[in-house]
Amino acid sequence: MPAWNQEVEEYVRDGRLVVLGIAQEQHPQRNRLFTQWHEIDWPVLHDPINLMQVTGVPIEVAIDEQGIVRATRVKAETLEQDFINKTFSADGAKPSEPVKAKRPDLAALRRAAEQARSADAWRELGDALVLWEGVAKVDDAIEAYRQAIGIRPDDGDAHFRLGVCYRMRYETEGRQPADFQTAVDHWTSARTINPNQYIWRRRIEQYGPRLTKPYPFYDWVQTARSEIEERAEKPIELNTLPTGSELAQPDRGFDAGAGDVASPDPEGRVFRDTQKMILAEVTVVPPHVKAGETVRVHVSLRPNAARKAHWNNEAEPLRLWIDPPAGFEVQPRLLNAPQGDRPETAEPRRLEFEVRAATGVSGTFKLNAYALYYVCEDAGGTCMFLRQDIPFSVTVDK
Amino acid sequence: MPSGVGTMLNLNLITLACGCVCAVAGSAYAGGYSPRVGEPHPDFVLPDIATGRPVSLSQFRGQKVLLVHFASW
Repeated sequence: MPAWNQEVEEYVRDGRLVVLGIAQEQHPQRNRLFTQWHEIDWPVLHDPINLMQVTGVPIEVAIDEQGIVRATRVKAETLEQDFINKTFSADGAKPSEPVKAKRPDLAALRRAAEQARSADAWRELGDALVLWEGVAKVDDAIEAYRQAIGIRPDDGDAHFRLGVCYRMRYETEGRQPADFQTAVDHWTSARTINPNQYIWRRRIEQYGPRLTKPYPFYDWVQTARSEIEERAEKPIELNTLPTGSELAQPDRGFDAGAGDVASPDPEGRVFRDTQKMILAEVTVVPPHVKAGETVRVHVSLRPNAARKAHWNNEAEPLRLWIDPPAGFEVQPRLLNAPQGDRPETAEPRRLEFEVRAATGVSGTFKLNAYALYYVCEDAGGTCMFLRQDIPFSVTVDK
Repeated sequence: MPSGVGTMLNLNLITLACGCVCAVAGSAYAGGYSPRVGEPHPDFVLPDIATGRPVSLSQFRGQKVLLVHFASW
């Protein structure tokens, strides 16, 4: 990408070429940081749902003045000779006039979907809602894609895009229970429908086990930030920081060695969080595996705003313990969450671990896990040390 | 390093979505980006990642365009 940027800079400056980027990225700020880092100054378009249906990246396509594709395997060395300097319209026909870009008419798309009741029309409405209204209309987009899938259950694009919507909502205050798991489930359905769709696969791998990771997806973020700061610029702020699996190094090994780590509450004597001071949610990625394969488990623990709950950071950190059934391995079995930076904080805490299913088994297996934490009611209110059991299941396919 | 850079996969199948009917009777629904040399590139409208403003391919009619599909992961 940076290479292209330098190669085409001169042509763009001279007005001989328009470069248009299309970013396959759910989080626009991450892509903006990326383009800021590489000092890409041509326009980049946001395609969080893979509207373009690209099956891989990068792809460069050279398009002439009439909108005709002239090359799909573009080489920097020959771009000037084979494309920039070349005249393509042999008959000297004048190119048609440019057409001003317009946002789609959402009301018209909705009417069309309701009247036509076709999967395409519903999906098109969903696309327009996600692209042009984003989080504000994410519930409507979810409904539109669900309609599309109701009519055409094997629409992989609709499944993938519906997953994007659920993940998008999960990252907002409007999140509903199981949004992240539902996103992963739909991405998995999409991948099952078309296992060759590279963009869809990567989206699952982003949150999946280290074993199946091709590389750490967002390890460049820190480097980018510091290099941008060295240029005395302010890096684009990320509203969703990459965490856990998004930064994890690929790892082909699985070291389940719990060593001398022991269950911190083996007899279950710590009082349970019956008032749900902390809301826990578990997401398993991928949702099902074959025997001997690994899943990555994301546990989110969030102080319950309705109870004005907050973490007590002047105590031991939050701990999470996982008890796998026989033959299953967990890495690591005991996790500690980082403390907040003030005595009382209410940020969500996310912990991730990996589970390797036993060999030669199939079915749904329950794993027991529990968290121990210090939590307080309201500001200056009562603080408690509590336990919450967080059982979850891993499904092993035959 | 972020990739996108590096792995170039084979493109496959049919044309761009954009509301056209791509379903093939009796087979799984399968779309795929497959621009063909000598044929018009399907038009699209997407938001500019920095400004949110709509940008289409057809607004650049009369100019040569290099379309770069990439990722920041």
